[in-house]
Amino acid sequence: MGRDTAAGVLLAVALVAGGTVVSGRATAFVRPGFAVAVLVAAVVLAVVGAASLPARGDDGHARDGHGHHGPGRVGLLLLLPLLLLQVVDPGSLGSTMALGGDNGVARAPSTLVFPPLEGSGTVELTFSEFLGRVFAEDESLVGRPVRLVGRVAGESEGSPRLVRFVIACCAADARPLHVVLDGALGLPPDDAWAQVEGTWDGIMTPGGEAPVVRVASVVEVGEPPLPYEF
Amino acid sequence: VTPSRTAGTVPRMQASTMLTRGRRWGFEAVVGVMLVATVLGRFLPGFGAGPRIRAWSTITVAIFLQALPFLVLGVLLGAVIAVFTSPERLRRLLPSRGVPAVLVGGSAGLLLPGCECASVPVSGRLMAGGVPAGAALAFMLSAPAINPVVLVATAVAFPGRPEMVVGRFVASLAVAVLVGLVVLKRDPAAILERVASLAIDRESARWRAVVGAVRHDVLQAGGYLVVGASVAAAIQVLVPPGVLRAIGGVEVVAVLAMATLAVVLSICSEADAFIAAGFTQMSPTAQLTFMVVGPVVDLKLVSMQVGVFGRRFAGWFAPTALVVAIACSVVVGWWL
Repeated sequence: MGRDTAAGVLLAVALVAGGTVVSGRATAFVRPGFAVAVLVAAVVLAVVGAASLPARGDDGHARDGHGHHGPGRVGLLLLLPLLLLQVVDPGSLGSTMALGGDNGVARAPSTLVFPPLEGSGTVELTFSEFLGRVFAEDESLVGRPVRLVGRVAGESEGSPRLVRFVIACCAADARPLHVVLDGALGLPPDDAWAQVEGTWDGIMTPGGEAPVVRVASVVEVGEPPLPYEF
Repeated sequence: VTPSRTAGTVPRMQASTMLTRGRRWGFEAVVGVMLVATVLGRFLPGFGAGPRIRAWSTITVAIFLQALPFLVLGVLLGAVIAVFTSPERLRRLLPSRGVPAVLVGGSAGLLLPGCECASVPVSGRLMAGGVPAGAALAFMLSAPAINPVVLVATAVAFPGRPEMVVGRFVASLAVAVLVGLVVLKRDPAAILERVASLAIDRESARWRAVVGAVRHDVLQAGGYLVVGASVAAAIQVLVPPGVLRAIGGVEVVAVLAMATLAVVLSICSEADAFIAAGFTQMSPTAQLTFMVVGPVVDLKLVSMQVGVFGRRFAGWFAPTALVVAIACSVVVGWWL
């Protein structure tokens, strides 16, 4: 690969990767803390790319290190994730990847202690907290109206669920959390984001892997700015 | 693979035309492709991609974006080491005899806070700079597994179980040193021939040399990173998650399943403890295996090793590291 092509690839990576952070798209792929690191890396690559642009009259095909070979064409593959971002624009993980989950994250032993829920009105909980309380057998949760925001899954198969992913670093390590919805009328289609209000009466699915939430109301909502929990 | 390598086999005129064309249009071609893609994406949102293609794209992009800062950190560090230290000075830092050098290389892994994407290019540059292959590779294997950031992440993922952190540290260091010793016993000529092409331009200004080294290493290691990321993403999308969960019961099968999973998923070493902890039905030994194998052998890592050290060497090195990693996990797991 010539130095001019290399410069083009590096500048493209810097522009698109940095752009996903600036536009807020990056949170569909990595956790917010990592997005800052991506931006720093993009700046470094932009500097290296700009410094690699052949000067006017320079032989742009000059090889690194006087006669040593430049990187092979494999470097062009760096354009693949950029093209996926620009053309497919895949967004955050969809509900397809949530099928078959068993809420393993929420069931892992943890030192988190949940003080009993206070008040009596509807309480908005993250999936991590809701399921953490379910598996910790928190009595204050039983019968309490709760509000959850997640993606609809399994609706087309007649076993509607609400799912949300938890990530540690990026979407490749995403683990699905889900609750089973009972009596949900007017549920939006699979993959749509919905805000569900309902109550958990202490009932679990037959295998014990998920709580069954009796649904009171469903509202379709837009994707939250942070689609994953951490 | 590059045009200049084939230049000797084509007539001189033709070769020079090829070079001229490359000089004039390489940059413009990249810009053009990206512009067309952006416009296409605007007018055909999603490009009619189904849910599986979208999930594959999300995971591929996620691994790439997440690895990018570590790749750049590692490449920058490697370039600075290569340009600002002489081979003599690097050699003086290490014991001259093989076994102590491997031990020092393995322990030095404590110092690089990052994941495996950083350590591959750094160890390539260390080797090119004269560090013995066994020591540089021991460093490469231990750095992603035993650095402080990863150990803290492991402690957070396994609350109240410090033995998992100790187990991970001991097993991973043992793997790095043992594999380093195996490399010592073998003739490393195959890799040395390859890393020789990582030579540094010592004739121009130092900052120019750093820019040249960073450009080369980001493109080389990064290209292979994308190969590994897209394959790992494809497997994540195609294999149903329930398949592996069914085999938690049988210990031998569980250990092998978790090792396979670590290779296939290609998760960053800073995140793997959280995944391991989520496999609640697996034994501690199986969970440890997942955390010890992942930073040493996984699809994106093997792909990057092919890029930096060559296919022949990676083809021998990865299976060796895998077997040693499983063995060390099982032995250390005995005490968990």
